[in-house]
Amino acid sequence: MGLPQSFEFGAVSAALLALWMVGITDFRASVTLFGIQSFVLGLVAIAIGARHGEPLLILVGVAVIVLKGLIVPYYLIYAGRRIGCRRDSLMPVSAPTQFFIALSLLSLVLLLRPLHAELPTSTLPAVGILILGMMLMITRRLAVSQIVGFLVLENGIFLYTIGQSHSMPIVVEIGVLMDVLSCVMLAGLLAFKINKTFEHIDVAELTELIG
Amino acid sequence: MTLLAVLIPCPLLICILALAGRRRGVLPRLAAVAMGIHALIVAYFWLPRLHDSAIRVQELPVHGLNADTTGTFFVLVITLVALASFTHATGFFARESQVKRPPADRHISQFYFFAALFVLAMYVVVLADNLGYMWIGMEATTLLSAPLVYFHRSRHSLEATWKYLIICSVGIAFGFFGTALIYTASQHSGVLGDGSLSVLALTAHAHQLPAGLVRMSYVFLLLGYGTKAGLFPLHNWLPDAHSEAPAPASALLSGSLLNCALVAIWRVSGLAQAAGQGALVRVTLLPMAVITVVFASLCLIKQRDIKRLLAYSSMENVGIMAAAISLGSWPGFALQALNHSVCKTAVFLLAGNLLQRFKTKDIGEIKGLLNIQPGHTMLLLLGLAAVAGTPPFGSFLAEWQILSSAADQHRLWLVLILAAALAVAFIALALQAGSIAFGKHDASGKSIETADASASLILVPGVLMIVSLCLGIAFPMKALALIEGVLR
Amino acid sequence: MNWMYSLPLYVVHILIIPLLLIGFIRKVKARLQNRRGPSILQPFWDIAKMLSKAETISKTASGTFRMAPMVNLSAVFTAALMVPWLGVPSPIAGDLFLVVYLLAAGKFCIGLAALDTGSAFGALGASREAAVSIHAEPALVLGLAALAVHAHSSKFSTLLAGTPGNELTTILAALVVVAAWVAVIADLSRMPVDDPTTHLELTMVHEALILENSGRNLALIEYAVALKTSILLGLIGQIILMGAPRHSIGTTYLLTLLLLAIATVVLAVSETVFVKLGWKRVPNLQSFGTGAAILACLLVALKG
Repeated sequence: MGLPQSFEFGAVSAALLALWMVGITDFRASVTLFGIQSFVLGLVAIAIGARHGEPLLILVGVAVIVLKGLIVPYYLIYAGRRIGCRRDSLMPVSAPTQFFIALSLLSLVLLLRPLHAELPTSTLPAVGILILGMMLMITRRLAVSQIVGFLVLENGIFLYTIGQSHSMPIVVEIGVLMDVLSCVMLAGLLAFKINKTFEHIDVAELTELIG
Repeated sequence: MTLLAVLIPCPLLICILALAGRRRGVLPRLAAVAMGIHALIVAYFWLPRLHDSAIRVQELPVHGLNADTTGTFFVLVITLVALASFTHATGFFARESQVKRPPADRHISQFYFFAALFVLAMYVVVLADNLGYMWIGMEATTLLSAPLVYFHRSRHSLEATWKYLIICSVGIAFGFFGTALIYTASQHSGVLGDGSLSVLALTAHAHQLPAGLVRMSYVFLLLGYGTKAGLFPLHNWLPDAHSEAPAPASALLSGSLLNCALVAIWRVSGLAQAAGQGALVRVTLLPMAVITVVFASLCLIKQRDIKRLLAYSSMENVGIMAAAISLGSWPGFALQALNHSVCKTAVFLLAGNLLQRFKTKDIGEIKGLLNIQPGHTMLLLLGLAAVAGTPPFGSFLAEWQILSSAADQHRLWLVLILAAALAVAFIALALQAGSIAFGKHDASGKSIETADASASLILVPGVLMIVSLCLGIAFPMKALALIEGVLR
Repeated sequence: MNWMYSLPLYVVHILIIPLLLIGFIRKVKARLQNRRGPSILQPFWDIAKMLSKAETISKTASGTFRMAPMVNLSAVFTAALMVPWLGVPSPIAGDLFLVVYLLAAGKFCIGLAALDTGSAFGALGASREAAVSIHAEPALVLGLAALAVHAHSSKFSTLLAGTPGNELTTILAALVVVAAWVAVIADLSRMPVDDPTTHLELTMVHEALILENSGRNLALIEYAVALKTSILLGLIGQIILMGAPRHSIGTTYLLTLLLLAIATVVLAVSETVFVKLGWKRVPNLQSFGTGAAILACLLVALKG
């Protein structure tokens, strides 16, 4: 397959992986899917870097694969094991309903396709992943699941930035990556502390501060 | 290059001291001294830039950072707030260590470590010309201030920190999407080549940017930086975070972090207006700002917690400043930012004193203070008055400036709503202040009588209130002219 | 190669392959569980044994109970003659919707028979089977309908021909395979929806349905299930081959047999590896199938 096709294939499969994540309640499974999604996006970044001759983009791709594809999932699974959460069954609507809502949102995004011709080709899958990440964050009640939702959101934005005809300055990309990772580490630490203090990590129960 | 270099050493020194030193009581004093030196250095190098128009807009050699007028002004404001906060923090932590369960030395070291880096991150945000760097700095401020909010390590602060981290990070992520969109827009402009994230370059060629993309990116950027500023739908984290943080950190958050977010909004709104999307700016930012002000004023009425009261008051001021930005009024925005920082810092520090003494934030339980600590209470009353925008304090002039620029643009409904909200806020604050100050003090002793002189309690807030008064009485015209002249 | 199309040869295949398939599944499962397992021809002997035994029929059962298995078998047999599941063109040119409804009609009759006996477990099985098919049918129908719209015809021969080398066909085929596989698992009462070897009535779905049948009727039902398995797996095989370049009929036939073998191995492995899903979580699994089918329809709607 030529580069644009493999790029589209990677982008669309990343979006489908995000869709799959919405239908899953098992925490470890969604983290694994996130790892695979980051892996795919890293490969896409490497391919684009190779094609456009930007070695720094290849570096970013490798960084994404290693950090977001391996280290972060490993850390999150470790955190989940320490906290002892397996399945996020406390959602407002059941998983199949969420899956179909996500599917309809994606179709809406597809329908909006002709609106902006100036946007890069990766926009639709990227916006799709963004919306799915938002949905994951809203519908999950476990703290660690919300972290995963946030990471999916970031993946969507990452896909958008690498799809532009000339990618953003590498310093910015690396800076963003580092920021996101620090955020995840911090949030993981907080999740531990929440578990120790409140004996659960259900963020909907964190309602002591109101008004 | 020297301009940037002078900003770094002292905060870095504080970080190193925090990592190294363990002796109780030494670190806060050293940090305060370091911050004092820092303030002097910054004043020496950066103040002249405000006066002298010749060295005004000058691209620094360090790519992406630009010390233009906005940047200079806010660097000075941040330094002022940081100085006040760190200085007061010596006394604050000294009193903290006298309570039954004092915070561990480790926690205090962590506090200073992150606070110093936090100040540096805020400098990056206000000085950034490259939108990407601004974003990185903004996210860094979120990450670095979360440990500050978490200082007390209680259930409530944990909840507040979690909400703060998650809501701000998600909001900021949308802001990054907006940044990416504007980068795409710049690539389609034809003159910016491979694309550019520099605000200067983008504003210069603003008319060649495709309108649709600029509009979309503005909406996302507003969403992102508006979350950090605490504008209406995205404000949930603000009362919690500002009230759970210890007093010096609350002062830093309210006094400088909100300013940084507003500077970011100012820059992107300027860009949008240069690209011809002024109407969009007015349609999105103005209603958000007005709703924020009204909502905050209404929330002020039923507050029982003194620090949440102040947090909502910060939110109200943010709304007013955002309204100023959407009207394009730099003098209003800058004056209000300066005055708000000064008064809010003072009041937060005083409220922190109250919390330390009475162990409770509940206004219902603190009564009749005027009889016990007259000096302190008078200062608190004056501070609350200043925050509410009473003459003769500087904030009155600033709010007047904003209202008059709104009237100049024939937006009488805006003037009415803002004035009404300000009045409601004033009444609410007055009511709460009255219930704290007057009445019979219930001396059933949850309070601790601190042995040290009350002078150390009120020294820094007192100085800040004097500054605020001066801004209102002594040189309002001069300040106004300076600020107006500062912008081109 | 006209002899391939001939009806008698086709019927011979219909008679032999399904039971061979079932025997093969059981053999592979046994090997995976470190047993020797029954011989591959065991299902034949089982059917023979059942045909020779007398039936025990509940006193409260009516004629429906006696006739339903025959109706079921005739429906499935007709469907087998209509679907080109062996890779060769079927003797009767089948229409998509007719086949789907035939299979559903068969299932309906068996459900009626189960309710007819008046036993609690029969009703349990019937209601569960119906509930599962509510979730599973849309996946199969929508997926095949997407292919039908893409080929502008609902006849199986045109449906499964596709346009070789077209990228859209490959993606469509992949999505429909996912949808169909998830639906087929439910339809055939395989793991993780239902455990065919369970002995606990409260966990049964399909077994509870046919609990009351015995003797000749049971033989007919078991054979019908085996036939349905081969039809559906063969159909999936054809959809997979749709994305591949065209071959001659002989090669397609052999490839189909190979794919059937692979499918039985996959079924056996998933039966060994997966645990049965809790009843409330079956829709979660089925939603993935329906989702894939909906995506296939969207794709066809947008790109023709």
